[in-house]
Amino acid sequence: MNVEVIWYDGKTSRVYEASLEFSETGFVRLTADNISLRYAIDGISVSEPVGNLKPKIYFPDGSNCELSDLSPIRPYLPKSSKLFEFIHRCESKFIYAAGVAVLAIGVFAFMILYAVPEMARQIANQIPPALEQTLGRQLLDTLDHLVFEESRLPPDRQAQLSASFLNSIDSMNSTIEYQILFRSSPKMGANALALPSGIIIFTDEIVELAESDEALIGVLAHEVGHIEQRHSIRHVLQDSVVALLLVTITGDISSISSIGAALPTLMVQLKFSREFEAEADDFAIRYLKDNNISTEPLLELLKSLDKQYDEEDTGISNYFSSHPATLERIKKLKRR
Amino acid sequence: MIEDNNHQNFSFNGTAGAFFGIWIVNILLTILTLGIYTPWAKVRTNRYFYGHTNVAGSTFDYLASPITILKGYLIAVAIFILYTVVSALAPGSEIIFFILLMIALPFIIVRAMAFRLRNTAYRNLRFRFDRQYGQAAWIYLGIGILIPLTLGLILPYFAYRTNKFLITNAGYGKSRFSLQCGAGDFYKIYLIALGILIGAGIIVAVVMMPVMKTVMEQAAQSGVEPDPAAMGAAMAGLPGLIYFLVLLLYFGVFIYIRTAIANLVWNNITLDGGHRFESSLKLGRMAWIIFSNMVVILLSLGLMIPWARVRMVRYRMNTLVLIPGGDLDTFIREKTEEESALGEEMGDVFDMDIGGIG
Repeated sequence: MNVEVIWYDGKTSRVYEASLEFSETGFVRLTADNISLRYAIDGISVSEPVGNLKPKIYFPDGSNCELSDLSPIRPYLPKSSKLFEFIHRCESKFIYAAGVAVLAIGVFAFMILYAVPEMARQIANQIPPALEQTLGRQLLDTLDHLVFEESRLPPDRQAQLSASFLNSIDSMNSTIEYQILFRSSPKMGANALALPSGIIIFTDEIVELAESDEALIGVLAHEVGHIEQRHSIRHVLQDSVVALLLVTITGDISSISSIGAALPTLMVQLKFSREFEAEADDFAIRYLKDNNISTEPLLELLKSLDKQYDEEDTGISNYFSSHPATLERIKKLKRR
Repeated sequence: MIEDNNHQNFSFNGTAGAFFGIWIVNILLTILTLGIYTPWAKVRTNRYFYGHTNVAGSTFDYLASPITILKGYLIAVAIFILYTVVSALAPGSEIIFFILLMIALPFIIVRAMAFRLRNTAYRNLRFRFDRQYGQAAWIYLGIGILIPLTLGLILPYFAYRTNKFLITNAGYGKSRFSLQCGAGDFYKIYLIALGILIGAGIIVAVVMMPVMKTVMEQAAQSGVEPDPAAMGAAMAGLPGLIYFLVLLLYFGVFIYIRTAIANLVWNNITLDGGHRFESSLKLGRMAWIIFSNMVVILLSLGLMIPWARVRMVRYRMNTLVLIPGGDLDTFIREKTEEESALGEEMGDVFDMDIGGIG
């Protein structure tokens, strides 16, 4: 069997027009100009097919040749990898590629919506308490440094709130040791935070904004919900894995178009954040209901937190928000 | 055969459709194997692009072994995970990582270039890159650190030195590349960029100010009590618009610098034997391709990435010409040893733009 090829000797950049002659005895003879070479077929290898790229045959002496069609000589060649032949078929046949695209989108959605959050939940439950304490303390130090100032609430008010908060927590049957802190934060405004290992921080601003201590109990229950469900660690894990996932997929596009990848990453991470907030809300609602505390004060506090609160305002901006829409949160509170 | 003293146009004859198949299969297998497939994906992608890049009747070839890349990739991913987790849990530790990365940078750049070029072949002859770590450290760290200290005045010189470093240490077979232009040419490009920025600033000041003044005066003359809410909304919208225009301007200037440097460098590269190149990228066309690619990628949720990539590479190759100084058949091989893939993968994971002259 004879085929015409373009042969490169591997020692120079010369282009040879050559011919390959396959024999039944396991040898191939290459003839180009005044060169004649003989190779054992066992020693040659064929390039794995990619797209519609011309196939190449690599010879043991480092030379190689390119040909337009492999099919007439295929019976003579070493068997190619079945796996990569299948991969090549998926790549090059439209209907296969379309199927792969649908499958890829499905798998991707499954990963982001289910696998990654579930994995983060499992890992978060394995984190030793000592590590959590270190993390909590470090985060507190950083926040004290960046956004917090010492609380200006009178000490007896702080003591009274702490006592009432810890009383409420006692009724929640938690195994975590909680710590209630007050800080002033003009930068952050009215807010409450939950850090790993049971640190809950109230800003002076939220204490002042709340019309009753009952509203603050609602906020407390929300933050306890974050801590009991280990949201901060799960959040960090989920964000990292999703960022890695998207970098892996889009990693080969040039840096300027990766803006196209940064946006989906951000949207997925914000979605995680909204889910955690909703979970913490659920926790708070359950607690308030079980203890016959009205959800009305928490509802009023949420309304005054969201100054631009507007019953009509839901829409695309929801997808770019770290918290669920206030309207949705309030609706949920009202339902109970 | 080939007429060697004629201009030889580069061309890219890959298609978005064919590349889409490769790309989507790569993504699916990468997810299903939790990333283990990445090196195979990379090799297949590069083989597709190199194999469809044509000049003087022959194509390029990407020869890297996926297993070699996998080793470097695993180390890089371990470092990346460590970085994300530690920096998220202990804010402030990013700085330590950043400093370590900066120190490793020259090493990573040299290894990445050496790996990439050694695994690039044309007519079955490999390219190569000399591993000059000392030189790399001096340029990337020594001169690099002077950029903030000189308020950026040395930036064009830095761009010149890095490009010269990457080109003069590269070779094809036994032949070496060299760069003929000087630092002055780079200063010219950055001066023009600066001129555009200043000019745009003046235009904004000259055009916008009277417009705003007229609007205010008309409002006052009409005698209508201006609605404070409407005024507020108009004023709030204005900074948004200006912000958008400034962003667009920076984007444009950035593309100008990239395009001008690519043209400058390619037009001044010589390869032993008097071979030269000619690059004629047009700024408007580049800006249009990059901008529309971004919009299309966003609107298609990423599914048009293959189309965007093929489109960019095709334009890039259509504007590149090889001007042979003699016979293209007479390059000869130089022996080189195996190269680990660590450097290149590090660059990939941390998303650095290694090479710069693509």
